[in-house]
Amino acid sequence: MNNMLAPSPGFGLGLRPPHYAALLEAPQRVDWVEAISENYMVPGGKPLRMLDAIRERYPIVLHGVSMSVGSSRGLDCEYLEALAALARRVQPLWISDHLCWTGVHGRQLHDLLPLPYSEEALRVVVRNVRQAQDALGRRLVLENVSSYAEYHASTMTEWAFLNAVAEEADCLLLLDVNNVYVSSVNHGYDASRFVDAMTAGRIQQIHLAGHTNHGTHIVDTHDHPIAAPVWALYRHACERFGPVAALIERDDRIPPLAELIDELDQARAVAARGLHRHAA
Amino acid sequence: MSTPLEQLQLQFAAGILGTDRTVLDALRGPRDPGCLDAAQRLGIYRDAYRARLVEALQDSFSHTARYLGDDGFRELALQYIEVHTPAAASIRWYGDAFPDWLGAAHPQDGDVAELAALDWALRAAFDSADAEPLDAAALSSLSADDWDQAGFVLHPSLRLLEQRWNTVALWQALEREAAPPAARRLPGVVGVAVWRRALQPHYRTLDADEGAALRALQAGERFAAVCDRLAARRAPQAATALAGRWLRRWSEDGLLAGLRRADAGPGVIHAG
Repeated sequence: MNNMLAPSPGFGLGLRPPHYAALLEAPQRVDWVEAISENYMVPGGKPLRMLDAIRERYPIVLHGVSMSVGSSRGLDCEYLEALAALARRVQPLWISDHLCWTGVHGRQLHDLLPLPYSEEALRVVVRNVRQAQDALGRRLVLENVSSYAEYHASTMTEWAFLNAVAEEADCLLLLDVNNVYVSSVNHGYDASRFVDAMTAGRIQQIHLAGHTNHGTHIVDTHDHPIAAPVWALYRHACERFGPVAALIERDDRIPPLAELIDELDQARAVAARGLHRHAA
Repeated sequence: MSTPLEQLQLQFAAGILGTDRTVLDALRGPRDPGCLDAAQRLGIYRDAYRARLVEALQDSFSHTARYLGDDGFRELALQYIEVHTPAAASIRWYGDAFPDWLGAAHPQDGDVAELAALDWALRAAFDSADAEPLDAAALSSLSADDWDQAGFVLHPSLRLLEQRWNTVALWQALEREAAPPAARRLPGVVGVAVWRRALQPHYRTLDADEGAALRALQAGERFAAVCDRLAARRAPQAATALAGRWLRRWSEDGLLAGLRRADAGPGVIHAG
């Protein structure tokens, strides 16, 4: 079953404009980068020129935020065509988006909104993921989101839902261990149960990021270094899944590249300890 | 007939966008007394929606935001957000209607709306379509008959603005992070061209004749027709010299992206 996964490119960073110059002026200890698809789905100019230049030096993954695979009325064909055109230009290792919905009836809420984990939502997501995969000509990689609300309509756990989507739509998964941790605190479950339940052969990538703890709840802000419980969960994931491509996201209070490379080295060290246990 | 999932999403969206709280019945309550209740959980999404859109507007309208100050800009942004629900898949386009909305909602503050229009045009020039500049040699090889029929393909990033306030002076001061001069109405209308050259957005002011000429060319008119109009208002030699200076300047500025025969529809004589 492992042969459906692309080989791991190692340890990467989310591509952010403040780091363009540092990434281009000298080789950096960054194995690959993840570009936010929508930032480059523009007619022309500097963003695409920079992406082309980065592409010559680093493998790229495309990571979208507005496919809305949970949309009850299907996907936006114009969006899919634009994404497919960008993928032809960039030739990404893979293309990912989120297991969520982002708008309804033409109103875009620009947020990763939670789905009920129901049979009905499962049918909708599976249909939409197949539509995306047909348009893109490859398996989609779907990420679990941080959530702050749960629905009475849910009839299964988030992890059971995620596994069922992956199996039925034949797609791959991006396990965001920060999102697992954030949601586990917000909804009161044990984060390691989530990781333990995931189908190992479908995990193409792992995300790491920082969050903000408000005491009563945690918000997925991507504006801090990775927190200790998330490192622990990442190590647990490495023990369970073996070598999986890992990536650090930082979207606010973005530090100099060197600081994120230090954090990436920390991820390498944590992964090495986890892999030691995985092999044992 | 909408499905239960669609109903739920419509209710959730209504809970984020407005005052409708129907969706709270669909959300789980607190597990124990210390946890957030359903309304507080919806509140996280309501706040995040507004914060994200305010941030997107601040990013696209950075000089306008500096001009008004954080609180002043935020107040206007929140007013706009209440009446404009995003419709584009990418948040990049969210400010599209902001300058016009400012002009309509706050007509007494024409300087603010014009500053926002200039911010938006520069932002649009940044990632608008690419085009190779027209090779100056293509101009020198045209015959007299070609000149008679020639029109220009202008760079796709070019936006022509009209300003009634000292907006460029305001923008320049804000760009230097200096105190802006007092807002002041101009005696007439000033044209401003905004476009991208190589990877960098540019702008410059235009006098009325040059502004009208570029507008006519952008609408597909022949260059000869533009020159004829100029000749009707000036001495022939002065008109010819001025048209020649415009062409050189437009070519140096990278405003010209191709030549086309105006009598042959979209047929391009020479693309840049």
